[in-house]
Amino acid sequence: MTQSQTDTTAASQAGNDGQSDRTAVSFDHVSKRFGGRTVVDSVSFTVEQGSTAVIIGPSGSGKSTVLRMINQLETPTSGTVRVLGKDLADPATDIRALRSSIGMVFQHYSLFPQLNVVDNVAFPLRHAQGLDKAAARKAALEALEQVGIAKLANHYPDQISGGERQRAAIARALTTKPKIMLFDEVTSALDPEHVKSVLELIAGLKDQGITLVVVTHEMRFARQAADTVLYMDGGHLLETGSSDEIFNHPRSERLQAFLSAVE
Amino acid sequence: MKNPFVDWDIYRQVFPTYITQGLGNTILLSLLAALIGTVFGILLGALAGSRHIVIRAVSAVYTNIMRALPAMLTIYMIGQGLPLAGIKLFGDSTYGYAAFAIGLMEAAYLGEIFRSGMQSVDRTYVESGISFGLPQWKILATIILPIGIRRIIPALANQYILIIKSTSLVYLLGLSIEQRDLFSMAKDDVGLTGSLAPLVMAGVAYMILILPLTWLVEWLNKRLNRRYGTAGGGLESNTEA
Repeated sequence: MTQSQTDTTAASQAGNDGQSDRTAVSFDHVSKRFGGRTVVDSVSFTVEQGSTAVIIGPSGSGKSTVLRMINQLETPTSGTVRVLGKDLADPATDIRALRSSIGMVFQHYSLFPQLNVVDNVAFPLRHAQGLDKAAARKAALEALEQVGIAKLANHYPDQISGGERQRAAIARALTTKPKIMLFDEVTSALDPEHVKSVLELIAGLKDQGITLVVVTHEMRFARQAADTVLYMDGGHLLETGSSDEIFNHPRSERLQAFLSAVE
Repeated sequence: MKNPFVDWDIYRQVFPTYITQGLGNTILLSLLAALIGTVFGILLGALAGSRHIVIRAVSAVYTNIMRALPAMLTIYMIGQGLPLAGIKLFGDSTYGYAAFAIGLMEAAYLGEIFRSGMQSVDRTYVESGISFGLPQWKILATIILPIGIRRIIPALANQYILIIKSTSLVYLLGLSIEQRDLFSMAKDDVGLTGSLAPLVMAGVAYMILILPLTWLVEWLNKRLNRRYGTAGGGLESNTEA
């Protein structure tokens, strides 16, 4: 696109609250209640495109719920979630199209048990993007090469390690060339020896310009990989800042207590 | 004392016709009823998992009614009732109504089996499908059914075998001569011969059809347990199939 074309597109996409068109995700006073319980309480933040946001906090703090509102696995009770410039609550927004620009990896049950690894990785290409079997398989094998487990292509999920499963799940999410990747505690269920390779893989995605939003308990990863850290506690976004600010200069008592407990 | 069941002349007379005609009609009726029952059963199973209480209620009401009524009553009401009410779905073909009646009745039982299979599929698999941007129907077809079905194959297979036996109830509806299933033929021959021997031959014919199927189900069961077992495939059942 020429410069003038990108300017026009940028102008038409800019939200009327003046947010930059480089914003991948924005939460504006977003709350989520389940029955009587407030799980997310008026959370506001933005994530710039191509940056890495890591959400940390104790269990039950609402981290996963916030993540899941980005691809609308959960819908906010109030407030506005904008992804790639689009208001998710707007009926004109094509949620399914938006979802194919967002890849997600879960903590467990990541791969479908009845398909082998390469068919798992090819799945979104075949069924969401309509590629034929051969083309999808080819792209899937390339994706597996990239994450270093091409040799496991014909294995079934129950025949490979948890770490290998998660790497395959990451490869699968990457096949649709997403602009945003969401990671929901993807190493929490893994044996320690497998955690490192998965985290390295995620960190490596930063170079590809993908926006990463990572919910994790891995503090070392958060320190090293995060551009922005969000600390959630009891449904509130208590502090946000750069990795240095959050880890080296925590302002709130709760964050200080949390960090001394986990590090 | 005369044995009412043994008559080798009658055996020789009727058995070939049961194999060439009765068995074929029974099989055809079973396949049609199974197809109708499966389609409606998957629908009912899917509706039962809906997040909307009204939709779930529709499925529950249908299932509970069908399970509460005796099979003969249901088949008679649908098979005789529809044409009399002017709903001539199958024209004058009793065959069609018969298959339809059995199918609708069996849909309730198949629906419960499908529901249990679908609900045993971990929500995360469904959420993966959602996150890929798939529409609901595709999630059902490419994720929920393939994963859920493995757990329910034994229950499904047993239900299909029961369908074969249910076809004998269409005797009530009165099939035309060429359309008669095994039981209808045998019952007619009992009337013609004054002997119960035809029933024995019908029984043999049913066994020839059904016993190999039950062995097939056992083999299938063993194969599935070997491949998926309790620890395989990441399948963790939280309901009984």
